[in-house]
Amino acid sequence: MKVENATMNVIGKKIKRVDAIEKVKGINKFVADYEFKNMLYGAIVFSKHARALVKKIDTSKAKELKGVKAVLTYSDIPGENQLGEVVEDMPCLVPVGKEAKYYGDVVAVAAAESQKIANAAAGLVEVEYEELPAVLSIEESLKNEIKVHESGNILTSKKIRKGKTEEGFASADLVIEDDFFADYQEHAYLETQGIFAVPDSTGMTIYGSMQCPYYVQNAVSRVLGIPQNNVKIVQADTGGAFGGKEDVPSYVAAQCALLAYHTKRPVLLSYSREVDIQFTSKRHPIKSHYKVGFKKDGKIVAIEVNAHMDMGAYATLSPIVMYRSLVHAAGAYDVPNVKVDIDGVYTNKVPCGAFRGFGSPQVLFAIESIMDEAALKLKIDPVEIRLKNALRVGSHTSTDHLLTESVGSVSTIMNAVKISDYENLKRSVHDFNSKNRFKKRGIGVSHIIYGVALGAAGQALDAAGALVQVHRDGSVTVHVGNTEMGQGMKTVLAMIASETLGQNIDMIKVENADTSYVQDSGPTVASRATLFSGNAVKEACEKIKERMISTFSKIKNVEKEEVVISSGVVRGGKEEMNFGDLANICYSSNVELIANGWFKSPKLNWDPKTGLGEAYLTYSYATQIVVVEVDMLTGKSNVIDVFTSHDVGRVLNPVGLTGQVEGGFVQGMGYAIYEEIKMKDGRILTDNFNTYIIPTINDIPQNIKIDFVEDEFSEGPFGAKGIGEPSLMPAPAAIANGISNAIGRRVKKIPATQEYVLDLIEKGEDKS
Amino acid sequence: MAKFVMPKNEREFRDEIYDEKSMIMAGGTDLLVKMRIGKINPSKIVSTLRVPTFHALGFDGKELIIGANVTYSELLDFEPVKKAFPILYDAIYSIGSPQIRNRATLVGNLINASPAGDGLLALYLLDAKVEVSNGKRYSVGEFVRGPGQTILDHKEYVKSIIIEKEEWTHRYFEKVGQRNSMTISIASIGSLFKIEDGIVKEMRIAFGSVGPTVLRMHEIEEFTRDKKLDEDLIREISMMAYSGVKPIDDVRGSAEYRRRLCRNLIYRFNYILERS
Repeated sequence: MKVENATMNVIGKKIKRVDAIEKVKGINKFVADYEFKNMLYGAIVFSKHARALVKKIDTSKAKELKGVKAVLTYSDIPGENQLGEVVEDMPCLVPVGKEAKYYGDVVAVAAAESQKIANAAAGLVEVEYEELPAVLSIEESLKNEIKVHESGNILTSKKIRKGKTEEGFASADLVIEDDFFADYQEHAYLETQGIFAVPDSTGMTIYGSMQCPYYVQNAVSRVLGIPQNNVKIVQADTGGAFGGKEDVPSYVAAQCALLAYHTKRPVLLSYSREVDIQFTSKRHPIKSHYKVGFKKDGKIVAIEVNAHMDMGAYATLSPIVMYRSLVHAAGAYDVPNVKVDIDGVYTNKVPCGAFRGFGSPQVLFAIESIMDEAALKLKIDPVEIRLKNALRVGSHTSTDHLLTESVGSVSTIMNAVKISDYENLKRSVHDFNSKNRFKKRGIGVSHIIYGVALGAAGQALDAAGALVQVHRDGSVTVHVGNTEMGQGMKTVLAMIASETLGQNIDMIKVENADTSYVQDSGPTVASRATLFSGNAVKEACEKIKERMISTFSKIKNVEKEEVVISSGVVRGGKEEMNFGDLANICYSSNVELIANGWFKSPKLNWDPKTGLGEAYLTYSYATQIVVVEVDMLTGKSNVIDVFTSHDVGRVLNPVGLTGQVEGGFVQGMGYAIYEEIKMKDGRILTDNFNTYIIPTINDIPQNIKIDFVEDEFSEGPFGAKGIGEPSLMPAPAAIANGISNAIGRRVKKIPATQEYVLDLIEKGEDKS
Repeated sequence: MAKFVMPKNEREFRDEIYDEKSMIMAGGTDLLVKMRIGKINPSKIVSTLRVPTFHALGFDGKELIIGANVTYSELLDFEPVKKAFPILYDAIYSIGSPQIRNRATLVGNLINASPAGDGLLALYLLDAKVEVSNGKRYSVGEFVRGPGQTILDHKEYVKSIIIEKEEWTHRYFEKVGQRNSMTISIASIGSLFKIEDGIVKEMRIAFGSVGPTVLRMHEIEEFTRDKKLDEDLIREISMMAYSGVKPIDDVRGSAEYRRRLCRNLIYRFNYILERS
């Protein structure tokens, strides 16, 4: 579907970020910049064992320290101690007599007049532990000999049963079977976790770095045992999140709120980088076993997947992360027979949670590796084999979802081929390799699908609201329940408001989320803010515009249908007026210029027993072609060229969109080749950026070519879908395939660090 | 909280460092990191920044003199370093980022005495001398005693580093880190050659991050003397490197990976072979 966009004033134009200037100047405030009179500083005390029984907690020495105002344990919690968005299996503070289940499990919190004293107090809390044997791998967990939780180590299992895979394999000309492993990834947001809890006469206001204010409201209300209308959550400017601030701020806020509750003073709890990396969630390690059957011509006839996800010590968001792994496990292809089984297992390690992509890059890496391997074995070009199996309008996804519109998948493949000048690219790589002895280049291709928004498993949360107010001077305030965390949501929403109302964008201000203005709008995750908040803002603006047009038509005596508002000017017949003047007239005539918008997901039909149905509202697609250069003597990989094409439904802001794709690529590249969480006995050794290696500007390829295809989605605002996560998804798979192509051996683990790649290169050789 | 002082001449400097718990800061890019993680806890930090004699940087055609507060950026900008001591230039260029090179000093790198010190590796290769406040000159090998250890006692300090100019026909430096900049060596190699008519008249070779200090491998240096540089010789040296280095496992890489890197990096001498 294609909508004519000749009439658009703002949508599709290159619009500068609405929050750019203050961020560049450093004048906006992140939570650690806030100051309140009489404020205190918080610190946490956490277990330094992978698994240990808490026998005794003695806070007396810590309390004696001058300047210490509170040292609290589980017995100081006035409300509920148990937290968890899906399964309430995680304590706010581990009680005496219970197990601390990972290195980082919090047993006490302290508040003091300075950060230094608070840290010292935390160090003086004496906890007596009885160390217990711990479960430190998926394999150990599956033995179920040591139970992380009494209920058993497999928390939950999900499956897809589509068609008959045995029959599919029986008809296959080629069957590829292999194991893959995708390891942890740390979010590495610029700003660490931080919360400010400010008590008042009836409850408190929580300011913080967060993605999901309503999660925080719920957790704080539970832990303090006070009603939700006495817990107001105001998002502070947030310096990056990537999923790491989906549920984690709930725990940080609960700890901080407890300190404010008992001291009756404002408390800032801001994690150091080391505490942040040690204690907070990561991308899940996933081990997967794939079996895929192909016909000679490259057509896939059957896929079987068996995967295990390492949840760590607590469930947090794992069951819903698993849902996304399940749906994306068979990739972006039209496959008649699909069987997927996936289990989430507990271990005594850091709890894993949300991370850009939410359980899908791990499995997309695996299926895309197999696609390349099949292309090699069947002597078909990697692009051809993907085209052969790509989804189209009328195709059924791996969950048997019939696709009826906005399927840009084939277009992204064709577009990537075009922008990469694919045939010449292959030749130039071949030339390079014939001239270089120690450096070899390889081309990597990947093609992905991405379910937009929360999908069938998250339908209960998939709605969003907006509250828009036009002031007397025509300036506009927009409140939404979703959050800006660096992704550019405020700019896109301001554009949607501007386009819909007809007011200029510089007169529109999008506020940080505040739970007292807008109803629970679900989490700001799953690439859903543009689609959900965008539609809600659009609806609210349409209501106000209708009233303004009505007022104009009455006073100027022109037909409503003739009235047009654009670029801050109202026109009708021969009459013309500034937007602000009309707003002023509306005020004088008591016209209501405040309105709500509400967008909710249409009902999705899903059968959890078979894993079949409408998994997501819609899907985004992408194709990426990369050139990777591998140093055959060191195993080190450098990405040289990137060509990436995304189907986003409709491009709202080309500048923001390109920024998202560049950032997503770089984060995906870090995951693919650099970033490694190393542990010893459950403790994370790589707890700062001197050892946890993320890409620098010198690692980013010079040539990143990005293009978009537009295949509009009828329910999206102006046809848009989502981009936040799809921007990262193709990178790990494409880069891994590029390395495999360069060295002539298959990469089966990410990150494909230089040590791992040199091992692959030298495999089979005499290692001395 | 540590006291911070900036003496204005060497006499004041000597008085300030007399205190047992004082530490000298010449740049601070290692010192401040160690303080933040609580590895060291000095009561006083004495800066080299305001002492004019520590800014000495000169080359008289024979000797390069580098004072205690000369930064990497200053060395990169100093024309004789690039022209007469290119291996030093290469090593320094691989360090940190422009911001770090603007603060960090070569003498600081020497005192830090890390086996991963990239500047230090060049000093080993160039047979640099260290002029200490007691008036004596030491070779770098004598000066560095082990990881983080030097022969200095707390009342002594390094005034400067002195490097004599020598002619080399070829050189090679490479650092293998986990990314392309802002990285600490997993292994590094530096080598200097005098090659005449394809024959190695003299060579020096050193490895970083694969032993308790930077390793000069004299057995390779002796072995190659007066031999023809060819693929066979390269293969032989690479095996000597593999068995001669003494790496350990750490968070950046395994001992075995480091050993293989040292072996494999020798194959880059093929580039020298192509040019000689």
